[in-house]
Amino acid sequence: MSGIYHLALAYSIMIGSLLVYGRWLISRHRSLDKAVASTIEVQTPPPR
Amino acid sequence: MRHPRSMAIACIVMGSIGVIISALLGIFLAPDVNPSQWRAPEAYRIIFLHVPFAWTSFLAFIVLFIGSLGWYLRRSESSWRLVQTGSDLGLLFGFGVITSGPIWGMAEWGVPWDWADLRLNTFALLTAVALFIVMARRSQFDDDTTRDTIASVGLFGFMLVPITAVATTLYQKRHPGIVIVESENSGLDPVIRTILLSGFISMTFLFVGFVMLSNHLYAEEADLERELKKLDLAEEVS
Repeated sequence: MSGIYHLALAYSIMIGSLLVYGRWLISRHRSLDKAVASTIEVQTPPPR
Repeated sequence: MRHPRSMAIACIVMGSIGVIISALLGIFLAPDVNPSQWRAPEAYRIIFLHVPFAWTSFLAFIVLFIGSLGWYLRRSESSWRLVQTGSDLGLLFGFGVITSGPIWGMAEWGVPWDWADLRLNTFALLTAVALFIVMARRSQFDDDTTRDTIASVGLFGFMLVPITAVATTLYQKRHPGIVIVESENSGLDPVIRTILLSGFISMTFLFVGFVMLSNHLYAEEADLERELKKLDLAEEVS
């Protein structure tokens, strides 16, 4: 097929790696938000 | 700190749309090459992502170099964040280049790699440097000594950038020559050049967005780490 499969494989790997990195950033962002929220909860003194 | 995050996301969205459009233009609009002169004429379209990936990887290694140098000179947290982001992105874009290149080589040359080609091998070494830095950051205790070692590797790695960049001009074995610069040998079709440039501009937007968001996340993670240490200390004291 004159390289059409090679083209599809290379594009999938390159675009796929960008997507994986983007997802990793989003998951870090979410877990950071959760961690910040629980830290604030720990730091807040209980009501008297 | 809401503003830089929104700008980063805007850059990532614009860059992603541009990259997809450039890839589609590369597949459907770019002219065919002469099938009698190429073994795998369709596989040449890999360059529409491969070349912007390679350019962007050099931008990532420049970020890594600036961060490494800044760490040595000022030992600032902002420089260290550039080392973290530069090595992550150097690995990401380097990985794209050293996988798509051999796929094209397999289709066109019949072999995925040429151990005698300077550009292929120096670029692989450059990506290996980024991989080493990412793994070292994850496996080693984060203190000044570790950061010094990692920053020295980052500085060493950057020396490979100009060697890799000019390798096809000074010592060309197998890797095709520089495609964008006008020369007697390139004779690049204007449509191909336009698609490549649009790919590079889009990838640069994506890269800038990634750098901004990654730096922002590393900064917030470091702040959180400090807060947690303070909490631990307060608990120990009480």
